[in-house]
Amino acid sequence: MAKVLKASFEKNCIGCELCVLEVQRQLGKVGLEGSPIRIFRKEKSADKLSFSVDIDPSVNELDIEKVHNICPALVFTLEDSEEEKHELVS
Amino acid sequence: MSSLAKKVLYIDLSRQEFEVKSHPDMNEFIGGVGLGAKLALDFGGDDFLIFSTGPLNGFFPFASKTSVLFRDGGKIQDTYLGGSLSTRLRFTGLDAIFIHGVAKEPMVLDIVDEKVSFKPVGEDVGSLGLPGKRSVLDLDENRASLDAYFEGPNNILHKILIQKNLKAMIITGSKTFDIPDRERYEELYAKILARTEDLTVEKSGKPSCSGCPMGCLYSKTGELGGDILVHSLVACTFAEKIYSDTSMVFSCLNVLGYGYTHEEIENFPKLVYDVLSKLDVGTTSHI
Repeated sequence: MAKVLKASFEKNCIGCELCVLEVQRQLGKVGLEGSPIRIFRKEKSADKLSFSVDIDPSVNELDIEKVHNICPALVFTLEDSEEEKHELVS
Repeated sequence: MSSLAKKVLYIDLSRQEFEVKSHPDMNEFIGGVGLGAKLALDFGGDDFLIFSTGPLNGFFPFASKTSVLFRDGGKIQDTYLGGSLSTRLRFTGLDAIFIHGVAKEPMVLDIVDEKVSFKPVGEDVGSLGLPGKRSVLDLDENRASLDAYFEGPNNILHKILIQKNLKAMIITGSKTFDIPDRERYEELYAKILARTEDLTVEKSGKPSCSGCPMGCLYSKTGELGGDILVHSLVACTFAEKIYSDTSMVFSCLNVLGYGYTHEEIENFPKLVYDVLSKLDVGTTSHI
């Protein structure tokens, strides 16, 4: 069954952007523009910085296991594709 | 030596003007504090606030800092900020931003790649730049902070930003770069990323600098002074074992297309110290 990448533990994110740089490398470039993963800063207060992780589904065409493994904060999980789950049920 | 020129964005706060210049003759200064010192010597006088990155920022792990050089009461201060600024600045395609003059009214600078917009205070800082690709250096009454968390050591940037009448600076980097030898690059990248045992800092789960998995206790406070090569690259001082190794630095630069030789890298600290000796650094404990 095909797997999809999910940011199941977003609150763990430390903003290192290793995932962003990994997917960009897989796309043959270095930089932030056009990345299927984007990290946004959520401003709360001076000492409570947290992040949100935005994932474009196109990331699932890449080697998402590498993306999952490069995260030092265990933000990501690899889940069964919902579409394929539905197909199996029907 | 590689023919890649150093590209510098000059911003005149007094006139609200900016200009990008290429300096092929400055390539030997690599980046960071080395490039900053050369720019200060050639163009600075007593009035400069220079933000600079090195060729490895954004491209390799633990090369996560931004060098900031300025003169404070006769002394040259070199400080190194963490957070995401180094990747943003690197992805503007610039090597350095050289700010001089004093804004007539409190001002906000919105820098997107090589373009600068001069904005009045009151502009919604959150609406400037491009989300996910920007860093915000912001000043309030008591402190200067980067992305609402990171700071220079001892709140060192607060005074200089007040002197310049600079309320905030938003830097967005939206350029992407190709790597000619991807296989070798990725191999080297993975090799460095795996060397966490060579770092002199522990993982702590704190907000981290871009390209660093450690989230250490010291990411917030930045650094002062240190190894000239490491801070010209501009890598983290806790990764000194990796980035003071001439062979490793040569390999990283070489795979990115820079033509520095081993000898040039080995002799680089002396080159920078020669510049510093002409610059009158003043009595300072770290540079």
